[in-house]
Amino acid sequence: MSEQKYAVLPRGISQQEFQKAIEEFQKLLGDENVLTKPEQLVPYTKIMMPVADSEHAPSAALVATTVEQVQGIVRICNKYKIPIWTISTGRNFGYGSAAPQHRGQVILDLKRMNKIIHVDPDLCTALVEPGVTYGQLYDYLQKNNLPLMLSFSAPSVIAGPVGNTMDRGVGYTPYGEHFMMQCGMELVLANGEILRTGMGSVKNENSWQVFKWGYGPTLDGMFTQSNYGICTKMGFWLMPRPPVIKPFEIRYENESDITDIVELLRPLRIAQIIPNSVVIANILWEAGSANVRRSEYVTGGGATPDSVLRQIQRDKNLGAWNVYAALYGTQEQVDVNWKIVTETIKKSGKGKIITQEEAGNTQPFKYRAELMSGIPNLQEFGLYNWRGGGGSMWFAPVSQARGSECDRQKTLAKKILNKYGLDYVGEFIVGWRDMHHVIDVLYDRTSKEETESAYRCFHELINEFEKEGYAVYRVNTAFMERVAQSYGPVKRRVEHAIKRALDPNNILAPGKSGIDLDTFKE
Amino acid sequence: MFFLKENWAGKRIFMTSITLSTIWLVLFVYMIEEAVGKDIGNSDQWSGGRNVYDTICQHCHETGVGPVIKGRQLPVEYITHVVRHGFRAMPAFPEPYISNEDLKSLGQYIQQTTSEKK
Repeated sequence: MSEQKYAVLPRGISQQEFQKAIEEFQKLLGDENVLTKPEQLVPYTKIMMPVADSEHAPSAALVATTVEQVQGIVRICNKYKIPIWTISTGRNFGYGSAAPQHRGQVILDLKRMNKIIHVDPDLCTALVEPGVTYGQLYDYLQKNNLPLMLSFSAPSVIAGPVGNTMDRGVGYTPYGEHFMMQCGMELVLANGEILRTGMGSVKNENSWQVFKWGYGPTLDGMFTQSNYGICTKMGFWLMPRPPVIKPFEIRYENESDITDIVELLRPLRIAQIIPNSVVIANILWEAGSANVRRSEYVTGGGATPDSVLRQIQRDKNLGAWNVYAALYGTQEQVDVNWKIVTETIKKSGKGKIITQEEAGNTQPFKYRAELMSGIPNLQEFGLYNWRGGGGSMWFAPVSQARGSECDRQKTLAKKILNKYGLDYVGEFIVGWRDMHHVIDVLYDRTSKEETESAYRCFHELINEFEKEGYAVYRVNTAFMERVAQSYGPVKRRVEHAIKRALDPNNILAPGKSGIDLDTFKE
Repeated sequence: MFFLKENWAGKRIFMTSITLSTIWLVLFVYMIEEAVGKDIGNSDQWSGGRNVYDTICQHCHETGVGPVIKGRQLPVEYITHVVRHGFRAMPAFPEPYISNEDLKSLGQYIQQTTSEKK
């Protein structure tokens, strides 16, 4: 054996130690499920962040298919102090994709744990393994003619409910706050024990997927966006597919209309007249999703001038802001709520309503309507073509669902992005009382200059938003430590105290959300 | 049910109905289990290259998001390389997502497709 057999090693592990660990992994999983060759690992290094691929290169990837194998893996990891970075489908684009938080971590790939264990059409619940994709689940519901509906994020065809929910992702239906609809987890802890949350630990139980809270402290939340356990099963609730779904758009002409839009929508959303996670997308989000390229309008780098944005608006018949919402229920229910919505908009004196009948198959209405109806697609990837070059990071500050706040955030973000020659490509996803203000920091990753600008820009976005009391709800792996600082020292101390108690050898995803026993300083 | 205690005919009918009910219950439970898909197994075995294309690739490559790849006689090696490495915004797919065998089948399927005028 060569002294330098492995090009990348876990932090603080020698070639010899790693070789011994690899041999044990091979014995446990079979040689074919322990990936160490460069050509096997290269797919895990494909990132969209403005940092070198090498900073996030894994040392190996392990493919587990059973819970027992996952338990065996953590046993070996504890023995050799090997850190593992768990992925379910590895489709966390713009947040780090499938790559580990730092160089040398071993990927634990659970894509082949992809059983749909249970779908109950009466109670409208599901229990799945981490490798199940929304596309797979959708096909299953269709094939079995089950009157249930999924809620998912935009990369719905290829991403999955476990990964998305564990990262507290959101969707676009009335069940769009995915963690709120989660019910029961099975977790392999760092010591190899299996924890079932909620009712799942009760002998002979049958209520794991129907009652979230169980008894005593409810633990589910602390396993999301964290590194305290490996989720091997997750339950969640499905929406009964209503007889009528009526998607619609409200188009607004001016960028300054955002204040009025939010003030108009909030009461309708809180009162559940409009029950779904409404989206308010800006002109460039719309244009990108409809496959418009920047190169059609502008050559060279820099921020796209407002005059060009207005030209695109006219050419493509898009709004400066475009609201997407839907009504659900029986025809009578939808009719009543439609009357309330249309009268409210008419009274406001702004906004043009576009119905599905009027939009036909035009994009982006079509893919938006599908997302709100639980039909998966990948149309939103068109955004990546706006500038091209494969660079993307989501900057996702939380905002109150208040018009003045949304306008303030939009103005600040656009100013900073434009300063670095980048565009404001943003949408607000309306929660009940909050907004997920999601901004796609798009840049050309093949341009060194633009990549460096994007990195500096992202730092400034975090810094300047923090000064105003804003923080993001989720971030890519390159900026996790920085964002953890925004939430203050006490929270960090508590998080690390829990980490020390549950995972003293720091083997589970060190660095996730800034939780890392090796680097954390009190 | 007390009246059935000394009524053998009635008891026989009762027992028969219990037996039938049990059979129906078992059948019903079985049917429900089938319908709700208990342990339906995994689906990492794609049923050929066309299945991979229809399930994943076409969502971008037939919607204007990615370039058209059918009907261009693209070499299998090229398809394999792009799927494993990704290309600019196109994500990479590791072996657990698409196995080597399925990837080869996908490459052959795409290579052999003819141009489709739309």
